[in-house]
Amino acid sequence: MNSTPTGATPRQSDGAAAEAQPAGDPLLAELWAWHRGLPTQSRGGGAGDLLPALLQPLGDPASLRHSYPLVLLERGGPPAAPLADLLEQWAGQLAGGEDETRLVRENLVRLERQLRQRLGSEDRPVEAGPYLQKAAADLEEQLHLRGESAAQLHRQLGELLSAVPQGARLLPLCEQAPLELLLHCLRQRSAEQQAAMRREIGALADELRNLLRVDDDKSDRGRSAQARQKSLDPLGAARLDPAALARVLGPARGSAALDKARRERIEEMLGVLEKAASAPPARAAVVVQPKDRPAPEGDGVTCKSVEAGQVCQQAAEIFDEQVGEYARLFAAMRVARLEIEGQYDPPRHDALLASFDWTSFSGAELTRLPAVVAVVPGTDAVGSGLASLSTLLLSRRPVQVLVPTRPAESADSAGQRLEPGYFGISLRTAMINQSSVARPGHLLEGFCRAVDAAGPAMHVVAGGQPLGVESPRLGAYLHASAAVEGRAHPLLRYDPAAGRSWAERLDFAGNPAADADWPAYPRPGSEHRNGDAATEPFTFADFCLLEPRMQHHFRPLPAGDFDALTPLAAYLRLSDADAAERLPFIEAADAEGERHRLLVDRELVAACRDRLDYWHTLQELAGIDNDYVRLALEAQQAELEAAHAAELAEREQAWRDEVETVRSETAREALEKLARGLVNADFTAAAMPAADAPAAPAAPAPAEPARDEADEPAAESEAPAAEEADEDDEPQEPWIQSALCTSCNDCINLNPQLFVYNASKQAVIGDPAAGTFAQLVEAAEKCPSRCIHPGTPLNPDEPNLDELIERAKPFQ
Amino acid sequence: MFGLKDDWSLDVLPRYFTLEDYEGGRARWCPGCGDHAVLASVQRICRDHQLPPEKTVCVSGIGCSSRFPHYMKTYGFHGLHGRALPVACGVKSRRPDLSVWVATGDGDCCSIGAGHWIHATRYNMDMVVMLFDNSIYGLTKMQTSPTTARGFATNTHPDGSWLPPMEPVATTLSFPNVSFVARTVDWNPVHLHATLEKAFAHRGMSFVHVMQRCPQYTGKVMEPLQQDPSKLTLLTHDDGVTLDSDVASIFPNQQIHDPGSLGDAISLARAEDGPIPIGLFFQDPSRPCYEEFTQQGMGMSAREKLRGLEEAFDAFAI
Repeated sequence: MNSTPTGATPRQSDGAAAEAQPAGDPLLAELWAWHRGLPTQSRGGGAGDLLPALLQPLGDPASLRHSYPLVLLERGGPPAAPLADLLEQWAGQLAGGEDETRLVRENLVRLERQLRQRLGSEDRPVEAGPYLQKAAADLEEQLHLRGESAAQLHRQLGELLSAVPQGARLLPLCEQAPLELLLHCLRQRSAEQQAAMRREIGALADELRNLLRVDDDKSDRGRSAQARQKSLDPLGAARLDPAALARVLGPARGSAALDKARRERIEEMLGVLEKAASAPPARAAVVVQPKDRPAPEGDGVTCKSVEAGQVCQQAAEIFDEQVGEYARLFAAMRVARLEIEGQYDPPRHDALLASFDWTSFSGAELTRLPAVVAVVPGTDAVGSGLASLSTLLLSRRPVQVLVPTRPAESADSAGQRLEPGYFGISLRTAMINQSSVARPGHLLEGFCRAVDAAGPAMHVVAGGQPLGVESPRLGAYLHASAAVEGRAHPLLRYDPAAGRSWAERLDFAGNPAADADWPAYPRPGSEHRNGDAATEPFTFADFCLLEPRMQHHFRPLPAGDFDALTPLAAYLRLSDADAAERLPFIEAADAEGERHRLLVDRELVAACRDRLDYWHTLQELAGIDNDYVRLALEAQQAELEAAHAAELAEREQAWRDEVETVRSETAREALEKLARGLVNADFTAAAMPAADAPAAPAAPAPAEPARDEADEPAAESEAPAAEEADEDDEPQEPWIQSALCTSCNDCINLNPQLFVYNASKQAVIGDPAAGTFAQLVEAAEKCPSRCIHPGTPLNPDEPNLDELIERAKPFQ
Repeated sequence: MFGLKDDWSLDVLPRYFTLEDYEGGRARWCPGCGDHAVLASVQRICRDHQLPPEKTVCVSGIGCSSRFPHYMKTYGFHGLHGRALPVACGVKSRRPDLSVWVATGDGDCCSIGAGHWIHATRYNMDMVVMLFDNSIYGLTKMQTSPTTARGFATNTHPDGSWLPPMEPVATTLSFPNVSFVARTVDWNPVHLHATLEKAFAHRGMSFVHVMQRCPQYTGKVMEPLQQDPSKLTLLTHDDGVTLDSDVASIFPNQQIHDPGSLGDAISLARAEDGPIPIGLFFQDPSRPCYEEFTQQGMGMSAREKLRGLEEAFDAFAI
């Protein structure tokens, strides 16, 4: 766990800071005073047009390649994907190798740019096909290629766009993007669920009809002559007497007709099912939102605009209204299943049926309901609408609550912010999906999980607009992304149905550098020639620099060295006492890329500490830097080390004992042998062996069994020989090792139809029928790289073939 | 980073260049001449990196290979004999934004232009210098060049060249501030292309010694090397010229050589016996480039320059 001091308010370190104030340097004294919010000669706050240094190179929104537009896909596969990824995927499926498709692959970025220009300020999903066609036409006009290149590009673009799925739509980055993406997921889910439900209703209705038909057959009416007449085909009716048949075919032994109550119940349920089966498709979702928001369009969605403070209450009411009809339907389906299986028990089930409402629905039934989407702006969610939002989420109604928020929206001008996502977790009843438009993958995954869940969900989605600014300098995408990077809007997902522990419920994935205080990236312009680069962190203060109303927390520092200055990220790691002697700053850059240092005031420093405190809490909940885990690990490690040391000591002792035993036994044996040797020794010279006596010859190696190999090679060689004979009959096409071609034009000059250049200006065979075998052989002989292989003659009537084949042999 | 794609920029040139955009007409070098391979490779690099033709300059001196700029549909400067490098340095000194390619021959560079060779290497300006070495003055019909093998009969030495030849790689490695030296052969287009790619990616003067055939006059000199790859040694290293394993397997002799070591590079280049090494001998991207100095003050307007001069003169006013 990081030891960053938390909870320090601006006033707490006043005393220490006052002591640290330098007496001599008036400029430094002024900076100290400004930092602490004391009156100064010139207030001097504001950063002008400066951007965080890490973001300055990305400052042109039109040049930024990001995940939008998204392609909203119909059924099958993921609901949406970034257009850039799909273009790459479709280009990879084009016919031809890498070289042949180079032209279109290398222009995908231009196509994307053309499309972004075409989309302009669209703020709704649009049909993908027409827009892509126009963008492709724009691209062709822009590139203005000539000849074969132009034809090739046109052909391959056509092939590329034919891969666009039917019904695909493009979702540009806009304020409505989160809602449109959520509605798209709901439409897709609704279409699948409705189709499945209709199939199930149809099957249940058929089964119920069968029950009634069988019962009819058992009744007097069913056994009547008229009924028998109906059961016969024309041929049977002509030969059999229905009346006689009715008399002969009596009721089956042991079979009884349905009692009246059961029959009425089945007929009633069948009526409900048949009505549902013939009803028009249900809507996918109802959106309840404040009046000032633009209504979403498109099939299957209706919108109800209400007063801002009424959204949650209205959403609950709409849910309750529509759920009544579904309660009847689901009850009918349940009764139908019981009746079909003969399990319906009136004393037991009648009571359940009477009180059957949405709280009795199963998880599968809940996911079949048309969704209710409540759009609660971020300011309402943590403000006046907090109580009604809590009530809605605690009611467990499966409502999708979308909280579109701006990263700094619920923060005050000092950067302190309420956390709707964290608040939602405290309720413990709803899935919480805190995400950002700048992380569409994370956002989409959260939506998909929520629409498949049976409970309420709250999606807190950060857009990209700073407060009071409609077109941010960096563009909406990067602004939203900076909120994620600066820990202003951490990504998280909490799913109470995922398990019983925090580890199962809380998903922290998607956050940059999740195990660090701040993410760090290569410092622009610091790349060394060897590829290394210094890194610098992106802090909450860097993010605040993008918010116009936070500008007064920064003051440009004059050029020169001040010993008291410390980068903010390092400053935040200092103890209170050490921090009181330092001044924190961040680095920013102007439009020309020139760097400036910005002093950060104490109020924003406190906000940064607060952010870091919140971040550490989330980390700990997500199992990162968790103190409990650390302490448990330390205890476990100490225990293991102690056990290991004990085992080691025990083994050492055992080893020493064994060594001692062996040593004593060996000594004893040696003494015994020596004693025996001395007793039996013959000390005469003849008994002593000469030092250079030859060693005994080694025993001959055993002879290996002889292998009878005579037959095996012959058997192996027969089959290839036959194959070779077959291959010899087939004419071999000429070919060129293009990679070795030096582009010297020799072969091209000989026959420009037979030999052509590929996209890398290296020779390949064009039309083998456009030349003679003689030309192939001549080209092979001329080729300085000897990379042309003439093959065998395609035309058996060509003159002088024997001589040509002989000349071609070295090149086969 | 910040949720952006690796290739995050849509800020691409509105134009796209195909190979034809760099082809300035059919080359008129002799059939089988190695210049063709170098030309094709440079055109491919220009296309692959989408170098705007108007931001690309090919500079040459005099000789067969110096016709190179004529066959590139870029800006070109067909200069005086031996003067390719000073012209290229001049271009680079005031237009560091241009991609500069220098085509020079063994006569052009190693003889009359040798003085410029030394200083261009020392200046280390960001450009690719391709030494087309066919060991002969080909354009003027077979006179001895500084790299002609000893004993090889030419018009100027009918009994055979008398002096030992100059070795361009070893010579360049001995110059101060050298930053990139490589050798390749024209008859292996894959190695040639990989070497030129590596040279183009290097920031500083990349000197590439291209051993090439002159089918008219020195075809027999290079033929053994072409026919028998065991007469070459492929230099391998992660920081060197890297080839597909299929292509590399052509070379029975391979040697790991760290291009970061100047001493090893010089020893390797000076070895007189054994197979000829090809690949990257030396690279040091940290060497200073002279255009960092020469481009100072380029953004100044004429008025600002005048004011600066006036201030400088005023310092001496009485």
